[in-house]
Amino acid sequence: MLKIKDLTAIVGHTPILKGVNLDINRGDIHAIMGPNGAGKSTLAKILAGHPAYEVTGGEVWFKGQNLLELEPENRARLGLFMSFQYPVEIPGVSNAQFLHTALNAKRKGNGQSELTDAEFAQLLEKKRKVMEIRPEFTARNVNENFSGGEKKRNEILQMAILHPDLAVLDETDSGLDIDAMRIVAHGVNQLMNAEMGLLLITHYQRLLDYIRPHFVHVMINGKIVQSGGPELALEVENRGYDWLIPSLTTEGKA
Amino acid sequence: MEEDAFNNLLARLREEIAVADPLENIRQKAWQRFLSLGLPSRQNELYRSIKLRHLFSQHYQRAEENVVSLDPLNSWIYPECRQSVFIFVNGRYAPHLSHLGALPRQVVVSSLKDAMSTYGALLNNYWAKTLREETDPFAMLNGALHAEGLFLYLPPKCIVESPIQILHLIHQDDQPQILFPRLQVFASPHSHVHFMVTQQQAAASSYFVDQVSEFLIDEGAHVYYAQLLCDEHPQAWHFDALRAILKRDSTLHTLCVTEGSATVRTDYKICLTGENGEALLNGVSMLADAREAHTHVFMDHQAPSCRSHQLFKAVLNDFSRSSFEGKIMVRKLAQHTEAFQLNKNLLLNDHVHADSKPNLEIFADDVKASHGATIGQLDPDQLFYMKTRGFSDKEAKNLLVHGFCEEIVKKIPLASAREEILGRTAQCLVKD
Repeated sequence: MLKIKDLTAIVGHTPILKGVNLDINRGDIHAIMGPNGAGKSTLAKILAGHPAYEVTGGEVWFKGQNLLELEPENRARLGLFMSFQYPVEIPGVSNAQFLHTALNAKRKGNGQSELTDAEFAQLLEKKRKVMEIRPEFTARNVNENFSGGEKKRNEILQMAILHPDLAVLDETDSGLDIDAMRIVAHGVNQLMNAEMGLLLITHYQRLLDYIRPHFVHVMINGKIVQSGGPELALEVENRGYDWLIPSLTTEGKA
Repeated sequence: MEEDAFNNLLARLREEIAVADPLENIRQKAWQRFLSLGLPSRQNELYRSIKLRHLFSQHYQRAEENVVSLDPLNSWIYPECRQSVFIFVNGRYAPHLSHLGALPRQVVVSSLKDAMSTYGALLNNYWAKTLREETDPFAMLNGALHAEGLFLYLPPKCIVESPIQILHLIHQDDQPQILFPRLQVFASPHSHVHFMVTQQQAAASSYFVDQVSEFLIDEGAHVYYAQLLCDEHPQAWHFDALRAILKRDSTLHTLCVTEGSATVRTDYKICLTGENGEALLNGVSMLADAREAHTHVFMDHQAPSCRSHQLFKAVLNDFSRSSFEGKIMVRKLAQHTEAFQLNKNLLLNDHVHADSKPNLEIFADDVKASHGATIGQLDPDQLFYMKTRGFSDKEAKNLLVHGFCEEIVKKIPLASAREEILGRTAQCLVKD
């Protein structure tokens, strides 16, 4: 469903992705780990279409379409969802309004009928309870006065409403305590099915105890240097990242 | 020079209206005062953002009275106000079109002219003081040239439950008209009244509305005055002066929503003359094309322990312009004053222009006062976040603009008016 081939990118004048290769099929859960500055979040933002980053080479195909040629909103409508590490506040726009408009836009784009206020309210109520978000939330402005944990849970709630084909969760676990992480993981696991793909970007291994990946990749210095199964995450947890850096020099630079 | 031509026009209008009626005395005094003030020039600080020459170069005529058929009229009356609506046609109060069934019987409603016979002393007393203190030439001009203004007197403890709609109808063919609507409200101690002012125009060309609304709000009385200056011809000029005197323990809440025109200028002068008075002023301008909206506030704290809040927002698109000048005066006796002012402007491109000038003169020493102004653009991080949720650029901007305006619009107490305006904020501004 997602094919990333030799992707290179810069931010300003600084190269940050130096040849990323990754394939994600439907039904698969992938995790990318790596030290700070490896380019993990950058990869997520480039997939979402963030204007601050410039792609200098390579290709990205999503559901057979050239993703890099699509505007961010069209990537979203195609079925890509990104959960932000630092979700933005939008004063003056309520959560309910925001999500209802987003969902209807997506449905319209796919030739489905829009949901009425009542239908949407019902859907939102159901999903809100799964994410254990307080009822007052629906009338509040997007992420306004939310704690870090609440913002992350709100990201997953949005994912639950919008039902993407591929969800990219950028450091969703950062700043979360164990309880919040469990709720987030539960929400994600409930959504996950054989049609969806999931890409978890994480600094710490512990999220992967709750959302079990099929594939784990380690990203260092702008490239994926090692791929494996879930046991790779444990190995990184025990040994750190240093043991993977010699493999960069043995491969040679791209 | 345009100014000379305009002065001649005004002198002619003054002659036309100089009939021997009960209001002629006060109109003469107002005219003399207007002549001594003179039309504002570009040097007049308060009019420096206003392109007065464009106004002066128009060839206006006094508005004709027009009979309007009732059918479309009913669709402009809010369901909540079917039996509490005052209709003005081309600046003149039209009692035969108005419906007052829902008003308590004790409320006195009449034309200003008729009110002079029973309430002459009250009116003359009031005008003797305010005429001396009025410094705005256009408000004074209305004083000299108004006809068929509306007088409203609420007896003590009279609570008007139904919201009162004041519907201004403007009908003109090709000849540009000049209108002088006037509203005079006396709210006796502990009375309550809520106004919703709207306008509908069917005009083929420019018109000039020079409007004055005056409120004497007595002890413990509450007045709510909301106005929607939304249906304005793009070449129209609309000056609206709101004057209020608040006695102790009284409140005045105002809310103004405007989409601008060639120039809309709202001028507030609020005098808090008794302890524990409260004035809350809210406004939002939603401007597109080459429309303009200008707001001037003079908030005069003359007595202790009064509160005033001003929140005025403007969102500007295309080539629109706005200005806000808010002066807060806290006199020496006005201890324990709370006076706050905030002007927020959202600019949607690099061609629009917003001016903001706060002004504080504080002579008391135990006072809480602040003023603030922000001039900003849409937040790119918010826009990107919304795009990743599938919003197009246009949809995202519309929703953010709606969010910006909503803070004010949601305060409109009349549900049908509120829904109507909320709908307008979401679509009117960002075009493809």
